[in-house]
Amino acid sequence: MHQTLLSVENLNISFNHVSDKPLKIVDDISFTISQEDVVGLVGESGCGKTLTALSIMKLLPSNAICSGKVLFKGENLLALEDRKLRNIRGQEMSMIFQEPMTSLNPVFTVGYQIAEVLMTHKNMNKKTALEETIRLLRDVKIPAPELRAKEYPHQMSGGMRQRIMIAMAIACSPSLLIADEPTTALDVTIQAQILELLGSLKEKNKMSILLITHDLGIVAEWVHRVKVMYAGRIVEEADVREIFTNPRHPYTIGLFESLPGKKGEALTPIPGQVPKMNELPAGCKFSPRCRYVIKECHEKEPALISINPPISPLLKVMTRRGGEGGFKHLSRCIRAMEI
Amino acid sequence: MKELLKVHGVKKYFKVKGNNLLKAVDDVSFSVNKAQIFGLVGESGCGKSTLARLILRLMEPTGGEIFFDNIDVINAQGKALSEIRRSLQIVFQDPLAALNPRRSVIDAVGEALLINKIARKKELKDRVVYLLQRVGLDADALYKYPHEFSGGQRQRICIARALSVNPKLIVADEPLSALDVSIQAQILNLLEELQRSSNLAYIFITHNLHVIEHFSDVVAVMYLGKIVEMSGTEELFQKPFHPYTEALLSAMPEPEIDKKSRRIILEGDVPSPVYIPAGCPFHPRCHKRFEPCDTIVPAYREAEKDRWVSCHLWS
Repeated sequence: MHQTLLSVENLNISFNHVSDKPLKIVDDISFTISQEDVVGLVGESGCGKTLTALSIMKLLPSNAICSGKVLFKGENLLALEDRKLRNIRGQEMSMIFQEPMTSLNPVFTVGYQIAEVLMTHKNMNKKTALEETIRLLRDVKIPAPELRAKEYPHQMSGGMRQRIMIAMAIACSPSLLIADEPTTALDVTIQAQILELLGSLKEKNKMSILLITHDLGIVAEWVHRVKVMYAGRIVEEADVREIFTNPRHPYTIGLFESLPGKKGEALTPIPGQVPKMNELPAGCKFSPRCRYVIKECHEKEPALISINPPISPLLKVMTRRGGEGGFKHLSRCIRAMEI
Repeated sequence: MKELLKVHGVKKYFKVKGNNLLKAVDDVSFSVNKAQIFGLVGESGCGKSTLARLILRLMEPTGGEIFFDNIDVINAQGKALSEIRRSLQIVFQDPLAALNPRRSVIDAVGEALLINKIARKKELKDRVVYLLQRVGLDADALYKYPHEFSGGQRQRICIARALSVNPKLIVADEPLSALDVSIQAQILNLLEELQRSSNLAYIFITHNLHVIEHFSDVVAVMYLGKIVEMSGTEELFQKPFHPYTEALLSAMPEPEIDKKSRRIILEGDVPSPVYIPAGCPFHPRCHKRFEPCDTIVPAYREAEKDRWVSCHLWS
């Protein structure tokens, strides 16, 4: 059993809203990530997945009100003072974002930007840091690293810039990498390159990854444990195989049915649209779009509960691809077992 | 089936710094039949959007011919040009950018109706309501402004606007990319239904191969301004001929467990269209390159019936 690396407990994030009381965007999220685990947060835009990730790094905008606990190696990051936090950020956990151009500083060479991480966290002098930078660039498969280190972000392609971001993120061999839609801005062939690179680096550095994505294809190939988010809540959570073969929340089912298949096969989209966070319906937040809806759904919001069927311990071992909580399958639907 | 659009040897070169030529579209030929869905795939910068703009005559080509319903698109003037403007429509990627923020839905959708004298002023409202219903919006959308809608609804407005003038061909340039997965399926179903009910033809531009497989009848794959392979959708997905198509198909992540086929990882990035490699433009990244590839440009030929490819493996 791998050790728990990160555990998020009852995380709530709200923002002060113009009208009345604070607007809750992330509602009571809890999950854990074990060592060498790949956990996926899946959901559509505005469901709170990025805010969840940012809160782990304590990078939320200053007007955000955040409560709960983010325990990293046993220490609550949300209560930690900034100076101590700086030692963890970039060193023990780091983050890569969707759009590498906006994450890199346009007026410094990429080599300097990577070396800066090493000089700050590893107390290297400039010369060794630059040497180490070249090695990192080679690790992320940048051709001619000595020359490329002297270039600026605008001289590089999107895929190359994302490699630079990855080199920067892994510079101190962090134990947790948070990847927020790391390939969404890239073309498919480049996406394949970057995912392969992340995979090999994960093996090599024994990293855990929190992967945020909306691409179920990437989830299928990459993730061990999946958390599906809707309107700021986790609505379903299970091992990847279980999610794909036995989804137990109408939203998850709807996502799968929305995927285009072969020519002529009809698509079943989820009707309606994602509700605005200040206009959430009473009861189950998905109920207005749900085709399994019954009266009770409008009355009380269902809790995220375990729906595990009784199962033999042997099968448990066989079906598990790793991760804390292993076989646990949770769903926030009162009809989870009927649908 | 009747040919609707014929593109022959179309080129678009841009002059860039240092008197170099950027060959955005280079010698592209294909045709689209009535009520056909023609898929155009390729990575960013391969020239697919430029090609779309050339077909719509939003840009003048450097060379080649385009015929739409027997009208010479490139040299059309006066009446013929307004006929093209009416029967060729486009839906863009970002609906918020495509709609004027200060014009209400009835103005945005109704303008073309008035200009083309399809509706008179007093029947405009009924006509726009009918169009909105066709794209799945209510009549109370009439006097709202773009910011009051969600992304999916805005795309529906853009589709209603394109439909308003009874076009024969709609160019859809990444119409789903700005939308969420659950909304993408809604829009895709809508486009499919409209195609059936109005006998529309589409040129569907996307980088999402899953959508192409689901949606289109014919696919053309572009790389560095050229079509490298064109074929019926099913045949192409079953057995791609060009190594680039093969790599593209293998690179798409499959949302299925236990379906792990061998992935072909291409080397490097797409080269700049200003410095296109000699020989086959794809050869520096090709996993199947052999002797003639770096010197001789492969011909674009019909390797099998209705399967066009430009690769030395097939010549």
